[in-house]
Amino acid sequence: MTAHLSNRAADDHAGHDHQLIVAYACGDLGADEARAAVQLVEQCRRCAALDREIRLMPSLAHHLAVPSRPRDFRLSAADAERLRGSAVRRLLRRLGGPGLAPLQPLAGAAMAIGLLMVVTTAALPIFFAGAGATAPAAERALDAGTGGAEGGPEFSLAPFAAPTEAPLAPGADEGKSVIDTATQATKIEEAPAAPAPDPALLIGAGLVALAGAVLIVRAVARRATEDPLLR
Amino acid sequence: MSVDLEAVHARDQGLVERALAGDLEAFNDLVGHYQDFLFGLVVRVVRDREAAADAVQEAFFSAFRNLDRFRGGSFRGWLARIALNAATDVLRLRKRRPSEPYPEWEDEAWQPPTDPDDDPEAQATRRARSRVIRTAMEAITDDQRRAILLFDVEGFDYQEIAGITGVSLGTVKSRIHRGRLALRDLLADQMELFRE
Repeated sequence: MTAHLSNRAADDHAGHDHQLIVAYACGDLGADEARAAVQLVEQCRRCAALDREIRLMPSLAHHLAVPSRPRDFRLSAADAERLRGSAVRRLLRRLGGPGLAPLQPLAGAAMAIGLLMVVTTAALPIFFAGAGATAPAAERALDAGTGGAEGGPEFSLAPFAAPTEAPLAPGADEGKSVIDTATQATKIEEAPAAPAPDPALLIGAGLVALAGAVLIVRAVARRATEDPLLR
Repeated sequence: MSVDLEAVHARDQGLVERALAGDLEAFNDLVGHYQDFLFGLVVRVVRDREAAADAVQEAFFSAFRNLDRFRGGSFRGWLARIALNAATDVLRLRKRRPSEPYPEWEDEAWQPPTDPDDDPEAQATRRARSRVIRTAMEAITDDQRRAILLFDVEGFDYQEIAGITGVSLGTVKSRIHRGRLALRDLLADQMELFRE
């Protein structure tokens, strides 16, 4: 009968939550869980023993022997000099300091966006203005050369066609060709100049690109001077 | 934070600032304060005096090189983190060279300090306890051993251990709970030895 009860108790204990008892013994449970643990400790003899023995563990660790330190770890002046490293390394370390670390993931994006903004701000107005200004001027010049009535692509060769036509229509035609070329040049010179890029936008874009570049340099410096023991 | 701990932090901060200004003696004062603690911690993790000494020396070198990256708080905890990383490297190296035998733990250097007033029987008990605990600590996982050493022996709290070992608070608690349970199971037959 006693053996039967003992076996039953053992079976019951095996099904109990041992981690709960351990957490209770370590004082890491909230009020509700602690109540459940107390109930187990009060009702199960082996849970009570587990609780007692776990509470004993912290004091047992103090019985661990520690061997004596084999040497003194103080640094010599030579060690210190060697560890300080070269001037370049010290500069890299300064550059690679932990400041601005949260912005690091933005480095590449900032530089790319900044450069793109610089390019678009500086180049696109020139490109568009250039294309917009020369085309009408040339057209106007051609219109003037051909009397302006016909227009169209077939007259675009007018200044070059003039010498070919010269033998067929000498005299007046030749003179007209010279005048037409002069008129065309005058018209092209009169075409409106490309608008200058917005300086504020250009400076802003440059600053964004510069910030990105600085962050990249810092990241490279940090990687170069990273100490694996500080991981 | 206790007054004592605050005073220790203030002292360490002062020494760090002086060391950063180029005062080697100030850094060596820090080494003097913490070398026993650091060696005791690391040697229990790597279980080899020479390897532990190398790891501790490397940790102090690293601390000196990176002193400008210490962000205040517990200098002892910061050092412990560096030293345990060095210990991890030692253990990793050892795993890569499995032929290298584990050091002999019965080395005289590992014997517990004896009290001159102890009678021979007390000394024998002390040695037996130390041997039993050491064997049990050897049998639990590295992570559990570190957590238990930091908590039960070195007195760091859960939050500090989480910072030192780079894991969450829950993981720290779990390692300590599982480690204590494993130790208790390993020591189950020898608990009488620890009853006063």
